[in-house]
Amino acid sequence: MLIFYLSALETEEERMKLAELYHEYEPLMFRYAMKLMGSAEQSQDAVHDAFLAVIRHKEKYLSLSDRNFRSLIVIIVKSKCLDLIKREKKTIPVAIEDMTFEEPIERSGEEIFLKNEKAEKLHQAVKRLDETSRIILEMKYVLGMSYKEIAAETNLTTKQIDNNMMKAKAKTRKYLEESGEANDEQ
Amino acid sequence: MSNSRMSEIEFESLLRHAVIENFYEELDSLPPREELAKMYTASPEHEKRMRKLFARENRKEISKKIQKIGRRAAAAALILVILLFSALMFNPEVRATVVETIKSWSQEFVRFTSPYAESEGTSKEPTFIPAGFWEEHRSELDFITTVFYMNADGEHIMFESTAADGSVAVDGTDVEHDVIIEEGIEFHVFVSTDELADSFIVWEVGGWIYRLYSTIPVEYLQIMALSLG
Repeated sequence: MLIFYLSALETEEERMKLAELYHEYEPLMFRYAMKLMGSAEQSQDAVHDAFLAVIRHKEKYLSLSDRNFRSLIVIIVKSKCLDLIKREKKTIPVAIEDMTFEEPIERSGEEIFLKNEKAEKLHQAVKRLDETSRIILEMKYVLGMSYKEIAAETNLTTKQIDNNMMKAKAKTRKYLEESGEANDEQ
Repeated sequence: MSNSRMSEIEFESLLRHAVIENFYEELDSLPPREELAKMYTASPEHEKRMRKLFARENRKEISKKIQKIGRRAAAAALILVILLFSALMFNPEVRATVVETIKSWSQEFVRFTSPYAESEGTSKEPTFIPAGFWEEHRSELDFITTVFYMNADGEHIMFESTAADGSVAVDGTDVEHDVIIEEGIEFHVFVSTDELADSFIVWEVGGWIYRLYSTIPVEYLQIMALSLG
């Protein structure tokens, strides 16, 4: 009986933690989801699916720091949005591969002068990437996920992830070259 | 060649930095939670769906753990039954020694046993289940049947029936014990003093020892106990 009580308590703590996290990050998740989905109903579906993904890996995710969990939940909800779009075979004026989340920010000349130019150009190049590529790059570099983990969250194969990464790197490198900042030394 | 390789490494490093910087720049530029909450509000239906999601996951975890614990408890009870049966077959002094050993196993536990009764027919189950509960899991061994009920809020009720030539031990700590006689049956009611811990009822009918335990009000368990059919 005591063992059962302790087990139940542990699960109740987890349940409360999940509810707290949901309450804390719900508006943030909606903000990102609405940008991609455009409809409250579909945004709610994406938020629900994102939390389902968190629950599936709760042993790992619930022990993250606040900052890391915040990063995680944003990337996951964006990934679920794209999932839903693909699943519903939504008719969109632009192909998913060409969708961008935001327009590149034009920085002041002074800001550019203060930053490393190459890094700045690459920063702009990343903003121009399609949403799928950005999410995959964020999962890899921000969350440190392996290709296998990324594939599990995005419903893509590891081969597709690899191809996407290669394409994204090629695009950003091409942007650097066109900006005259390429550094191909032969 | 080495220059090209360095360039590749430098590019990878810069790309990693750009992706991370880009991500946090966007995230950190967002308004605080309170302002976002004014802009984006979920519907009541969505909030209900999320609560059910958390409750469902809670139930799955409890159910998994119950199955594990239930198997262990059933195995332990089975061993107990076999020990007592074996003791009956031999010298009464040996049997007394075995009984003493089991009693001294844990002073906190209250043991119910009726070694001379024979079980009549098959065990019965409650015909009354509190509103909102459903049967989540069932385990049936030769001597023990366990049924686990749950509701949408993650609350549980556990029902167990054990053959009377066995023995049932319950945790007697942090509970208030009372004996109620209804319809000629003696119900041992253990009301937990901790609202997070289970209360339980133990009784014997027709050679079967029954147990109900839950965190819901013990009055519901009493109604369930009386509804055996």
